[in-house]
Amino acid sequence: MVRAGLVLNRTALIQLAVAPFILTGIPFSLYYRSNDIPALLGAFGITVAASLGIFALTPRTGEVNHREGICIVTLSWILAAGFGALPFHLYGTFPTFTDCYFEAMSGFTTTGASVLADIEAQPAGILFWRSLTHWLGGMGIVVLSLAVLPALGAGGMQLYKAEVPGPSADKLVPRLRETAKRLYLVYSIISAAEVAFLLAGGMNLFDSLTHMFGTMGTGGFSPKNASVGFYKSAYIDLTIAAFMFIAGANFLLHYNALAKRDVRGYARDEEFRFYAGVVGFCTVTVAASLLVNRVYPGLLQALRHALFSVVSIITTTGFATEDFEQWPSYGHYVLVLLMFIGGCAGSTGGAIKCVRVWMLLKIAANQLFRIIHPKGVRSLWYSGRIVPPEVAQGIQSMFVLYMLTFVLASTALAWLGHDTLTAITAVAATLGNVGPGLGTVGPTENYFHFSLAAKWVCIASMLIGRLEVYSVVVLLAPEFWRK
Amino acid sequence: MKAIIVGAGEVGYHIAERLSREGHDIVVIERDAAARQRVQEELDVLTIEGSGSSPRVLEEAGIQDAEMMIAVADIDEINIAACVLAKAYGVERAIARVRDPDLSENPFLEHGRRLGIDLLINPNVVVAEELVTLVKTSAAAEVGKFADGKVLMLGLQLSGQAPLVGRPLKSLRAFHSTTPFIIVGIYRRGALLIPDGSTVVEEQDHLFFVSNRESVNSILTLMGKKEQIVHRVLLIGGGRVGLRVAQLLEREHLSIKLMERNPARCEELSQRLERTLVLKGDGTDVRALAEEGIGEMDAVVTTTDDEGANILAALLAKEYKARKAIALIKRPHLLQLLPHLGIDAAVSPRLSTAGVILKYVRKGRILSVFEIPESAAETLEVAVSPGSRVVGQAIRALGLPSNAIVGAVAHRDEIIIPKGDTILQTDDRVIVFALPAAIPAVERLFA
Repeated sequence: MVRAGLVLNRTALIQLAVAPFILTGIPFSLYYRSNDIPALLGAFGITVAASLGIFALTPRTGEVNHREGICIVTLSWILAAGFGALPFHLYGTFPTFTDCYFEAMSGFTTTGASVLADIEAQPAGILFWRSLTHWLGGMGIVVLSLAVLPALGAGGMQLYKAEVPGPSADKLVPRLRETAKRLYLVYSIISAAEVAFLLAGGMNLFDSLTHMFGTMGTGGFSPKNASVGFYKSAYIDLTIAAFMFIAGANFLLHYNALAKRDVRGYARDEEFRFYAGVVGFCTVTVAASLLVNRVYPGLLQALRHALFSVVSIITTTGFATEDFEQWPSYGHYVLVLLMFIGGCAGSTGGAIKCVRVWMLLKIAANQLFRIIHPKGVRSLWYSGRIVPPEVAQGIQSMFVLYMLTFVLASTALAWLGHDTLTAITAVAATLGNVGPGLGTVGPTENYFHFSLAAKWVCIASMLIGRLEVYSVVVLLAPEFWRK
Repeated sequence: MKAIIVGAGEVGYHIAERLSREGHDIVVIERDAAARQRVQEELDVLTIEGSGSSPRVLEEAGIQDAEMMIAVADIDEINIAACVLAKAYGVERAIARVRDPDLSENPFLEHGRRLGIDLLINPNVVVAEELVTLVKTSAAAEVGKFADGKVLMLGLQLSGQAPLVGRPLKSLRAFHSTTPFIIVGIYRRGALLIPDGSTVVEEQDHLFFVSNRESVNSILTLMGKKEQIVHRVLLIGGGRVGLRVAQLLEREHLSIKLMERNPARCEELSQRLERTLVLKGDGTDVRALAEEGIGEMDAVVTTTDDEGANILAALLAKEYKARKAIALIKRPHLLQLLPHLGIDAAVSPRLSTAGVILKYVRKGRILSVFEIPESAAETLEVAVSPGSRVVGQAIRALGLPSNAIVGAVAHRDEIIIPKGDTILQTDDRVIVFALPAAIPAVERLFA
């Protein structure tokens, strides 16, 4: 059973938690004397008025059940992108509302795919909000609401589960609200560290903050047309690469490392070892391919660019320093494959997630074992624990649904006339919340030239990818709505 | 406070729910994946899959910084092991549930203290004591005792002939001056409400009132009930609970008949019960019951292992005009059917156990708690501590939420049924009836 009133009520509350963040760009608007303050104030006013209206008209009491939790989370993301598009719309950043919505959805889902042709022509407040959506969407708007709104407490676990990435939503401490607060605290501490490093590298405060938002949310919006490549600085490349890598790992590990001084937790975690292993292997082989093909003159330079691009894509950030489309095919093919893997569970990264890929490999290995030893008995182990069959099945079917979404969406783009490479990589990059693909959506181009229909296909991919398929797709099943 | 609960059955779930709502950090350890999943999704607690007797699992649950261990898994030995381990890790208080009377009653073990366990609680003993209280208070469906038994809260179903029916509560004022009592709650058409002076009593109401022990009889007359002296009791079911109830009632010198189906068990019962007449037979065998004079019974208590049979036998007893029928019902959520069933009272071992554990856990400001089984309302007995901001305040000025009401104040040895201008003093014990939404506010007020 789904109580529409209750769903709307909680959704409106979540919008109210996000709304004040629209105003945080205003100090920069004032400092840079840009003319976007009315747009920001207007967007804030409309969001608050609409949310308060819904909140006042709907019933407040009741505990959210499992199905309502899914509805609330999905609807919250759809609405947050709608309200988040208002600053662009009111300022006139884009010719159509679809473009505004695309940019906002791309921001909240930490995709970083843009339809903005000349980024640097936009005012500071708009660019600040554009990047800030990454930071909010990275750790999650529902988690944010759980941390700041006590009213969401009843049934909050249902919401938390539907938003937190990974096969199991783990809590840090017994209380959900406290868990949400500590997640945001750890997130903020690491974010502040990155800002400090970037400021030390000579970036100004505005650029440091916006790049931090893009990094920590693993989003990829940059206020510069040339993305991080603008700075042509090894220090900045490496700093951002390091923080992208951190943001792509499980925040549970960061929490344990910071709060409990348990640094060895990283080494004990199977997913983290897999994640680090994939990053290491791909960086070295891509660098080797770059060297062999004489793309860069020196080893260090090849390693630096290979590392940045590999980390940027596997964490699903999508910052660019080099046009990797010009690389030998091994380089950009590896990057396309990494778009499917993505970051770790409990990180701000997107796509299938390392834990699932690793588990799928183990399931396949177990199956091979059974063929060799028909009477052999072997359980599925993960980080020293047995994986229950339901969890393994959940991972397998998530993979199937993810690939099915990929097939359907890329077929739709092909139908709309895009070439095969563009159709495939545009969907891989939006569904995986990466951003840039190849072909006509490569790291130096963007999605501006897509038709309206193609943009909506990408918007849907981004949402489905961020909420890990189930939460969105299940709403389309008639069974879900049956009383 | 951080507490670890081993076992997510009915008792564990209930305690976890209450304590987590009161703001404590709760970690639940459960072996069964499905039961763990349920707690994880429905309650704001941390859950861990595993055995409560495993040090590795306990460490994972953060036993080092826990202050309380509540072991209520299905197996006695696991509960004891969990508590002994918890004590070794330095946990302040440990409570274990054990069903085997050999463990809970053995004098050598001193209720667990010999093992370092603070409390061994036997649900059969707890529920048997509750049953005996209900047998002795023949008119009431619920009996809560406060201030060392000097204050009673009774719940009872009104009958049509009650003089009270159809009158607003304020019309009772004249009566109040001689017999102090307060109607704190009315259970009406599936909802519990807190009445005020203008509330009119209706025929099918289930009333809860607080008074001192001496006034109970005259209040019962007003409710159309009569407290009668209990002589004859029929127990149906001679399991652990039935035996225990019979033993306790024998001390009260009542005439007791105990009906048990299993011949071998009958033999054993007859050897352990000196003054009880043990009968071999089925509790739903109408003829056998009639032969034993079921209609003459002051109370019939059904305590077999089958809760459905308990309800049926109790209904049958009512049909044959037994004065009071009380059934043992295992699943607590079935207690909400009680008003529709037509039997006088029911108890649940799980709920009673949870109640006793909660009372112990809250030791400190909150001295005791009585839960109304049909809803989540509670009657709390709270001590007024010396530094509290309620000292010297009139009850009217406390700022008590509207869905809570003070039923009585115990001042030294005197029981005061308060009016709005009653002033609270240090070391008073206040008995407050509160609906679920008001409980946190009441607790904060007396903190």
